[in-house]
Amino acid sequence: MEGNLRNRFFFILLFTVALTFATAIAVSAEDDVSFSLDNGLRVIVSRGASIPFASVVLVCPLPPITADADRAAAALLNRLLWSGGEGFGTSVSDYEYGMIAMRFNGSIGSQLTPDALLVHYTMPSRHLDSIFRYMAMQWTSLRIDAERLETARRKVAAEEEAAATSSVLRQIMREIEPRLWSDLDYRFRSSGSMQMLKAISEDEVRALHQDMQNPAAWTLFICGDVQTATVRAILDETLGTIAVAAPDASEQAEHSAGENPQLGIRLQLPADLSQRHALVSYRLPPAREFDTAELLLLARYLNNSPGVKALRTGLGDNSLVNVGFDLRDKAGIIYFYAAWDDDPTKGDVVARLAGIAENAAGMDFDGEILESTRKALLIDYWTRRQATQPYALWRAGRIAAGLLEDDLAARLQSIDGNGLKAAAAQLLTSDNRLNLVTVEK
Amino acid sequence: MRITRSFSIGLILLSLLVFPNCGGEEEPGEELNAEASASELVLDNGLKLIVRPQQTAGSPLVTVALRTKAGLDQETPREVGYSALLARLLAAVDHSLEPLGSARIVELVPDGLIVSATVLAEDTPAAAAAVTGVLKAEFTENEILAERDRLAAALVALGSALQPSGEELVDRFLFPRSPYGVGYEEKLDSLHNLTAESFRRFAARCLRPERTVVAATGALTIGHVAGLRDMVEDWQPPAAEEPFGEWLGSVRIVPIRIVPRSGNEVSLLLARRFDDPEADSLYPALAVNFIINGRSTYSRFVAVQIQSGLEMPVTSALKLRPGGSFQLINAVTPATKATEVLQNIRAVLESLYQGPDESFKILEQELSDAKNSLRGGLLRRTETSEALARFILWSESNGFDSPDVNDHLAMIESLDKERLLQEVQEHFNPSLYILIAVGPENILRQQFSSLGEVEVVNP
Repeated sequence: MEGNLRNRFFFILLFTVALTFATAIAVSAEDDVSFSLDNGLRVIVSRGASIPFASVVLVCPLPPITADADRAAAALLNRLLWSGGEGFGTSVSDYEYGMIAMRFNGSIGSQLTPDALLVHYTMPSRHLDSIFRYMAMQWTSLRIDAERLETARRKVAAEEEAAATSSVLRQIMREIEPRLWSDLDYRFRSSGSMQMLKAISEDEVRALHQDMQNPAAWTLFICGDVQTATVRAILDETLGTIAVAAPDASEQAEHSAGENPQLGIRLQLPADLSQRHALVSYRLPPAREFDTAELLLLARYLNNSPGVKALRTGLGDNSLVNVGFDLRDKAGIIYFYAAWDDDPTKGDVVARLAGIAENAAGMDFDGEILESTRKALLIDYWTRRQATQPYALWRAGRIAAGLLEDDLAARLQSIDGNGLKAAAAQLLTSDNRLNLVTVEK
Repeated sequence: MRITRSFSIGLILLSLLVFPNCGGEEEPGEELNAEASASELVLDNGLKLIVRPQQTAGSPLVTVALRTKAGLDQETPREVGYSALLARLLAAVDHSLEPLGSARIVELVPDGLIVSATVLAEDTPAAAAAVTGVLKAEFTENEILAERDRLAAALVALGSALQPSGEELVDRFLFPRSPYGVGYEEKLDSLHNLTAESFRRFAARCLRPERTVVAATGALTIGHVAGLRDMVEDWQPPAAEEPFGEWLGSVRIVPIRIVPRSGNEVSLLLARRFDDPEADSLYPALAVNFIINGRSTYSRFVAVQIQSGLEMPVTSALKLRPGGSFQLINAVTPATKATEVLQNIRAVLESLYQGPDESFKILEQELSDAKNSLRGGLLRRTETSEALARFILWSESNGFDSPDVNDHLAMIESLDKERLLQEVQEHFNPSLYILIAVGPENILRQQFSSLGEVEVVNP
């Protein structure tokens, strides 16, 4: 009793001190603010951070890819952006960019998605002007010469070699994607073929650089401890000064829905495999045309569903069964993947994966699993949202796929079992099935 | 901030008089939903509770984390492997957070056991129960012995397949009688002799309230904090043997050790032991290490690397832990160039340590870069509620007076050349370093015998 009174007194005290001094670190969230600069550069600012840092990602869409060479040029351009330019006094090399990152205790980098090139900087927010200045100079002063191009070729080729021996799932996707998309840019391997990487000319890389240096097509995403007015003022003097490229109407390619190849593929991979592998995939609409929160919840639910758990158990101790997806601007993919120790008694795993997918629309979604899945996704979302750079990169990936707004947390709260059934009925049908893959040892 | 009496109480009473309805139109009891404030207190049983609300961008997450001194350094030589078993048992038995989309994470570090959970704020009581539940955990004999067998099997599978890493080698040579340096064979012996009773004695000795810190961060309300306190304040375990610990005693360190390994490549590990570094020397030591790394990565070691034809960069790392820290400089080189590379590395260190006067050189830019890096690293390390909770526990375990990020930033800001010089004199003098060379014995013997006492060891 005495302890309870003491407790109560302690917390009244705590409460009052809290009211009086409000010492907690609290930054209220604001909705995104979006605006465009005079040169057409679209800017999205998302405020809210517990530390004085900002992350900035420039999303530069790839122009329509009509040949293997375009993909190779994009992969090389991604490298060349960090190999120096003429506007930095001498030149800025990998080493000097490393120094910039170290000196401002930040990090920098870029990545190529199937839809866009993402260039990112994370720095203390007081260095925002430097970030935008470096970003602008990266594009406007980029120098492409034989020596730099050779270095870039070597680095990209080495990365491709490393990718060829990475996870089996990644190898499978690299092998089958060019066969899946008869109608889309994605039919070309994301870094171009090895032959094209070696053969592509300086002029072709330069031409892509010119095509892509078009702020009217870019989106700049900024998050962290920033003030919109300050950001805008600095941008007007940096990235806002890049001239707009003349639009080339002939290259605004239309993308038809296309036909699904419905391939049955038997692959033999170069790696020495200790297990058997199977993959079934389905074509998703362009990301902006459906509710991606429903897809996220559906995929995670299926990973925890009794059907998938039963398959894991049936395939034995070392098995892996996983549902994953990739959102894209023109058409995405959702896949059902299994790996298991070689055993002929395990039956037709591909058919069972397809069954799990295509029976989902008729399933009764368990309320408890749905709730724990929803909470797990919200915890993932908010953990990412709290950290400046991971959130910026995640948002940039979505922007590259055509999703400008982030309503994921709100959407996750309102989806029920019927919504998931409807999503499964729309997305996981035999009509949308892209392929059935088995990998031989 | 330890809440006590006097001014604060007066202020509260005044506040209650002036704002008798400060709860507004809330229902009775609703004040428990008010946002909690930053605070810390030591309960009667000795447990320390630290609360740091942190609401980033409207995040509804809460992290509850706990650190207790049940790590490797609490094992006696007959209890090697017991803390690993305790960690495995604690991880295996609780699934209460799965329906809430979360899990209880158990991590064993050399000086403690960390348990944490991150949940949506509405589920804070469940997270608090899951995390603090480890303090009162009880295991049946069957659970203990079955998990012991699984641990032993894992040790056999891993230990027989892997050669010790550079860091493990340094641990074994710098702290040969401590649990840091114990190999898997000794763990197996110890586990083989384990009984349910001996394990329970170990757990009772380690899991003590006075040796435990609980941190709560995120979207906390006063109700959450009250519930958390209720869960831990009645924890009064029976008296146990005194914790063992502190068995890192002095050892004879042989300056040069050769670990025979086939092939033509040599891994040079230049290491320096620190015993019980004070909290206020951690940031200076990290700053000096950053400067060494900066010089090695971006200037002089790069030249050494290129001239010597080294494939791998020379790296420097500072491993800070209470009771047994060390600095490690690592270079991989062809065997025939080992002496040359070693001399070059020592020359770089000597360029940093040139005597106790103004000849010691740290450039303004280096000091500024080091402070920037430490500041940025600290900030980015405390961005999420989970990361902040872990930082608080790290700060406590390293003996800092305050777990507040701002206080740590102030410590970094106050670093100056004089303080770094003091640190260099105490810890970074190259004459105090030992060398561990892993590679072909005959070549290394030939190369290093003129440099000092050499011992060939096969760990």
